[in-house]
Amino acid sequence: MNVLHVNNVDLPGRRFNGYDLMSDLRSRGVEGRQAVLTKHSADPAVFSLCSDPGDEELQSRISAVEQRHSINNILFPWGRLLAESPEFARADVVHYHLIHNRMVSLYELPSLFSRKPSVWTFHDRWPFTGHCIYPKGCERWLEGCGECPSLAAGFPLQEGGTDSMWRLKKRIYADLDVDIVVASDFMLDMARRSPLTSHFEHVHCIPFGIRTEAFLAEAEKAASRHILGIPEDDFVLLCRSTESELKGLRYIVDALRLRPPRRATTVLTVDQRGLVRHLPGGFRVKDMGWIDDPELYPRVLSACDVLVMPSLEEAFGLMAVEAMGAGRPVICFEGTSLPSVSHAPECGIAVPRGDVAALREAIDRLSGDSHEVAVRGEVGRSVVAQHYGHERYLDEMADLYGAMLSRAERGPRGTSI
Amino acid sequence: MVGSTSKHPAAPDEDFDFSTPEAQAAVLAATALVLEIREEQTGPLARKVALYERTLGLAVIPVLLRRAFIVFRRGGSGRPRVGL
Repeated sequence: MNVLHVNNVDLPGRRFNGYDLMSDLRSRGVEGRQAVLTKHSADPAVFSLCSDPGDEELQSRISAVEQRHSINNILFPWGRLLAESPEFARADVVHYHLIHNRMVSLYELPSLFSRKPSVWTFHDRWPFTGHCIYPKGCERWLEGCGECPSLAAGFPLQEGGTDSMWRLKKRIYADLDVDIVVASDFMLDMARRSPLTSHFEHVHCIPFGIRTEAFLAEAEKAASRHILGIPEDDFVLLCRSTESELKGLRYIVDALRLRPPRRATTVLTVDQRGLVRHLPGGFRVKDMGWIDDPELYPRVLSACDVLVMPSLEEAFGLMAVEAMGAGRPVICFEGTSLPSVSHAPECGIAVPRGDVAALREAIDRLSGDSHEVAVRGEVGRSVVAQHYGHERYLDEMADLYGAMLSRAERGPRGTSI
Repeated sequence: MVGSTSKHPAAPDEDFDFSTPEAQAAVLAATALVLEIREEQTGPLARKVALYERTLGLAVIPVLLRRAFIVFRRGGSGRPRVGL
């Protein structure tokens, strides 16, 4: 079987965007190619649709025209080129990933999806909305968008553009013959509730998988703390330190500033340095910066007691799954994919969105109860082994491609089966 | 030819509703033209960029879409080079 993956880039986000999936499925006899706009790898299996001289200029001008007309993902010609490529002709199944990053025109979808068995992974909430990627609590996507509270977010539009884009998606989606993949129950629920997507018959919840071999045993915790320079007896809280509002770091900082800790606590951060400061006495901060070293990250997970991840938006939540795989509980906000992904309340602890006091209460509770931390951690390891393994992910995707192909062979595209 | 000779950018065509099937047909026709120009290999890069400019310049796109739209509604009469 030949599967063509379509995404705007290959290596950035490779764990999600089809690149690793394409490579890893070869072990199951599924051959793959990937069509991108920007190719970063030297992999001959990847080809760019946008690599001619002048294409960058063309892309830039189309983007400007779209912004001027308050539309997005309508004028780009790359979907047409995709359909004309020999790789598309050879593909048995085409798997679309992040195609709304100025790649495939919405207008081209009916033609593309009717020509090959097609599967589209919803990586974020753009398919449900008039333009935004993360509605941040807004529910106007349920009733046609318009009067958008965040016109500047994601793909900026002018007033009036979001309801027009929403209507356009509704009309285009109405006749699409496509399988949809989402990675969490949260996204599955959105797909079922959205007036744009609720009619799709073939919607599959297939969580991404992680490789658990790299995670360290519990007995390594002391050594990990020694290596990272963290006091062995501290309560260690891991978080992602970023200025991105959606990741919710400010709620962690506000929670920690409420009062000194009952027990010496290290705040261990990854990503940007220097953002967690001015904390009461009793807190230490250890910034790791951005981690590319595949051996260092398991050390960081091993050294912590709990991951605090109060994101305001997550469609999946890979960092939470990785922490669980390392045997660490997760504290998160309600209203994203994280409560279900972290299997709250057994492993994760979900507190009301934006509730700083509740966030601090959950941190204090785990800080004072190492038994609860250990029990939740074990549940996390078990959940990851059962639901988020990499091999399981590959099996489910290969099975899906096979089922789509069988269905296509039984009847023409568009025939109800 | 679809290029505009006006030195002054046109205001955005706020009445153009991209959510309609007619707009879809017009834009898909315009896409064919964009790709035709993209395949132009005989001129130097500057000429190619100039063609992009004329095709996709902010002043031109409403004209291009409106023209394609009109041809679409005529049912293909007066067929231009974009192959509607």
